[in-house]
Amino acid sequence: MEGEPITRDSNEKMDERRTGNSIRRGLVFAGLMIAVSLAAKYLAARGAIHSADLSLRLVMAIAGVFLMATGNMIPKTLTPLSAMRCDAKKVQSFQRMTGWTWVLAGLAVAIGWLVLPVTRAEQMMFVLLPAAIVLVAALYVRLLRTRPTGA
Amino acid sequence: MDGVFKALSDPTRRRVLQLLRKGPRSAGEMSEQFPVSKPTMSAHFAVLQNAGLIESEKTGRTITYRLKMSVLEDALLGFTHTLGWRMKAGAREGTGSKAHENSRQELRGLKEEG
Repeated sequence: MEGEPITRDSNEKMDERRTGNSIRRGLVFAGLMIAVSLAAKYLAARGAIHSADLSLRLVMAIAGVFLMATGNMIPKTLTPLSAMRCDAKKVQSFQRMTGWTWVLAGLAVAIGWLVLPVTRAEQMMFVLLPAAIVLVAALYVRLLRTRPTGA
Repeated sequence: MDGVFKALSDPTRRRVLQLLRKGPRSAGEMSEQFPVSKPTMSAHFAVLQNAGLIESEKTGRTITYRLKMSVLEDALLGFTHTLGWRMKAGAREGTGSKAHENSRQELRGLKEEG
């Protein structure tokens, strides 16, 4: 029905593009975290800002945004159906759940570090991130237990 | 991002995305769900593929479509659904609604371009 289904070549090109994008995204966020941290320290040393933990707050907020950006792209990362070892429906569901989990966790971390007291933000992060990791791991284990049933 | 908004502006295409949320489906299965011709469905699929919201894969003679939406795009689709842009009514009625008339005009334009 539709003219341009994906081929092996286009899959390889997509993989290359995806790898390039994820490396670029990682570098941009790492650079941003270093630059923001240095700028905040510099401004604090010059007396322009009076918050001792602003640098930490900004860096952690950027880390939260990085989690969101990473989670946002998880459902777009597709494995060819022919190469799948699990049920395609369940893989899609797993990717969507994982993406939403990371995006919401990242959003909570970013907002938490911007608005909560530092100790509260730390507590929240140390509860939220392990909980997100455990949830994703549980979903992954459940996915591995399924057998492929075709598309 | 323009392509995404354009793709989500049509009720039939939103219904396609909603069906694909449940899992990958073949082109035949998908077109059975809509009271429109195969070329029209093809044009809808092309718009969704160009926007990067779905992907197709050919296995033998079967073309399988599956969702390729980021979380943000997924949220946008949910948002348009919640706003009640007559998604279900548009997909079922097939004719008569203003949204469908706009959709047909848009698809006619696409066919003329292509």
